[in-house]
Order: sequence, then C-alpha cells, then structure tokens
Amino acid sequence: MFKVNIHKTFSTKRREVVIRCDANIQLHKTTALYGQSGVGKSTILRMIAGLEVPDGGEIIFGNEILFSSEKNINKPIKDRPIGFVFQDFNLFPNMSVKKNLEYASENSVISDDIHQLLDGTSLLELLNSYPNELSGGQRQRISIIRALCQKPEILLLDEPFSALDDEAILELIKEIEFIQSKLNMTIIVISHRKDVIFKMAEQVVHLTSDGMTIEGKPKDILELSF
Amino acid sequence: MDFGPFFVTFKLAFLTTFILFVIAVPIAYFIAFSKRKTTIIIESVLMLPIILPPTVLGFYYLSFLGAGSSIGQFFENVLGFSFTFSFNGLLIGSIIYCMPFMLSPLISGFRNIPKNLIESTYLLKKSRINAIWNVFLPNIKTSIWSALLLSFAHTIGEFGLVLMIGGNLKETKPASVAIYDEMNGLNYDLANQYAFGLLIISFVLIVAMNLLTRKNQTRIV
Repeated sequence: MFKVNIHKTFSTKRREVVIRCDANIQLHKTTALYGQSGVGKSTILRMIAGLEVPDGGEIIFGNEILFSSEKNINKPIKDRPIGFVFQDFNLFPNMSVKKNLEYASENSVISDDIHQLLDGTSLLELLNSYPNELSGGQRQRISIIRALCQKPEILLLDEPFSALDDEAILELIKEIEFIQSKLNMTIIVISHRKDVIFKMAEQVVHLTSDGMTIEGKPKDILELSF
Repeated sequence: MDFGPFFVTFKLAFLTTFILFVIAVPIAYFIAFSKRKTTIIIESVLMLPIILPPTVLGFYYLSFLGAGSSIGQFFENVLGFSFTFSFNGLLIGSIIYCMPFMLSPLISGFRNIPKNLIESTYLLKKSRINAIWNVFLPNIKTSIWSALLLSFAHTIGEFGLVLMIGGNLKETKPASVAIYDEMNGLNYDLANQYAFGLLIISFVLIVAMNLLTRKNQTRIV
C-alpha cells in the first residue's frame, strides 16, 4: 500500500489554508486525486515528490518511508522513486525531444524500454523535433515518456489534460493506459474532469474543502460529489 | 593616428567582459534563487556602481588599493603587483565598475526561467552545476547576450574611473581618455578621429542590443 497521510498549513495575512490528505493509494493502479480548486491537490503531489515539505504526517511507499515527521525522515527528491509531469513547461526548450530523453536517461542513453514505448505510442517520429514544434498533447506525451526514463515506481501527473482539447486528451489517456499495461506502475493523476477520471482511474481520492479525504471507486465517489 | 588607445580600449573591454561573465554567472544564480534576507545587501553592494559617480568609485579604489594604502603597498612590495597606473589595475577597476551591467540581465534571466523547468531538473535528479550548464544558461541566451553587450559597451565608455586609476600612461590610456588629452592639447582633428571611432563602435553595439530585444519580443509573441 502507498500511504499518504500529510498536512501543510499556508498562512497569509487574510486567512489560513490547511491542506490535508489521508489516503491509502493502491499500488500498480491509476488513482485520481479529485477535489475543488484550492483544496491543495497539486500541493499534495508536490509533497509526495519532495518538492515541498509537509508540516507533519507520513508518506510510506510499500516498505519505504519517504517522509515521516515522527521519525524525522525526509528523503531528498533524488532518492524518491518518483516521476513527475507538470501541467506545462516540462520539456527543456533548448533540447530536441531526443536530447530531452537522453538528458533524463542514465548515462544519456535512451533504454530499449523507452524506445519500445515511443514506438508503441507513435512518438518515434518526433525525436528530432524541438518542444516548440510540438502540439500541447505531443508535449505532454513526451513529458510522460521522459519522466519514465528515470525508471520510477510512482508516476505523478499534475493536471496533464488541462490545456488539451478532447482529441488530445483521448490520445493521452490511451498512452497512459498503454504505459500502465506495460509497466504496471502506481500512477496518481489530478484532473477536474469527471469523464476523464471515469475513463482512466481505478481509484479516486476525493479531497473535500473541509479537509476530509474520501476514497473509493470512481462511480461511488464521483456520484457522491454530483 | 595612434591606434594604441583603441587597442587598450578593446583589450580592456574584451577582458573585462570575459572575466566578469565567469565571475557573474554563479553570483547571479545565487542572488536570483537565494531566499536569505541578507542577499539583498549583497545585491545592493554589487549594484552600487550603477548609480555611483565613477569618481566616487575611483576615489575609494585609490584610497583602499592605491600605492599609499596598506593593501596596495603589500601587493606592490610582496607580489610586485600594482593596483594603479597599470593595465591590471585598470582591469580590476573596470570589472568592479561594470559588475551591475553584467549581473542585472543575468539575475533577471535566471528569475524568468519557468519554475516548472527548474523543478524538472530537480525531479530528473540533476546536480545544480549540471542544471545551470545544460538547462538554465541555454534558456537565458538573450539575457546572456544582453549582459555581454552591456558590459562591453560600458567598458568602452568608461572615462572617470580609468582616468583616475590609469593616469596618463600610454599602456593604460583608452580611446575615451585619448579624446580628452587631445582636446586639452588642442589637437581637434585627432580628438575627432578617436571620437568618431567610438561613435561608430557605440552605434554598432546599440543596434546589436536593439536587434536582440526585438528578436526576444518576437519570440514572446
């Protein structure tokens, strides 16, 4: 099990925002993090990745403690088995797609697994293109492949669909499903679109605005929040 | 016409720009990303020459590093190095004077890199030096060119500071000081030749800077 039980408080002059998540995420499945804007979905992912430090709690992946305030453990980003894809600006504009992938790979060599994924997702032909020559959907698909070059066990996707049209979203979902069928990873994805969550997630973690965490199957959770 | 002053001008401008770039990149990176409150003091001190009259800088330079100062005497007696009336002294003064013109575009370039790009390098487990070299610097090329051109142009235009540090020796006299000397000697033709040379160089540099700005604006659109 992937246990995420963390909280963080942001204080501004006007108000205090408490971000809280207490979820048991299923390993080797795709889980959607769902909730209203401002409940802290992105912050939760950032804390899991190590980009931000929780005020307290614990993050335990299998037998590995990534963070524990009680045991004073906070693994640095480089020691966490995590791949991360942001909403935008993931790819380095000065590098071609191939260079981006090589830069992310061990010893700058793109592995056979990644070549197979590129082939399976029809992205091989884009290798010599630069990020500004790609569509939004292609950029996100390449970003996911680049994150996989690090051979992570957990893939975190922070609203990867938000800037995409319906066709590009479908392509991206297809690619994530293809990756999941090959690599059997633990994927956590943030999306505010219920249709997308229904299509790709096996579990939903719903963060409510009053700091509660509700877990369940997409059908149960999303129908509750209608 | 003696081309010596132009040679000194260019030698000073090239060396100042090159050495400043090497020094300024790590300083600019530190200032751009440091969250320490004391950083603002360091940044303010380094940016001071942007508003400080060059004569003030020259005065303190001579007071602290001149032949009459204990530091100046130590370097002269022990290492045989003179901070004044030498090209090396001129170079050090020029580096201090031009620091803000190199730092300012670099700091703003670093600060304008999208946060996601910076964090992507963390997530790909890259070291800071690796990220600076492979990702950050290549993505602030416009800022780098702007910093190089500004520093080069300001070195060419230096007058007060170089006059105070370099005196009126042949090996420390750049074209800007040569104009002043020739005017004093009523050699207007020669002064005009030096002035015209600097005018052309300055115009070319301004055109280059404007081209750079325009290219950058086009890219943003």
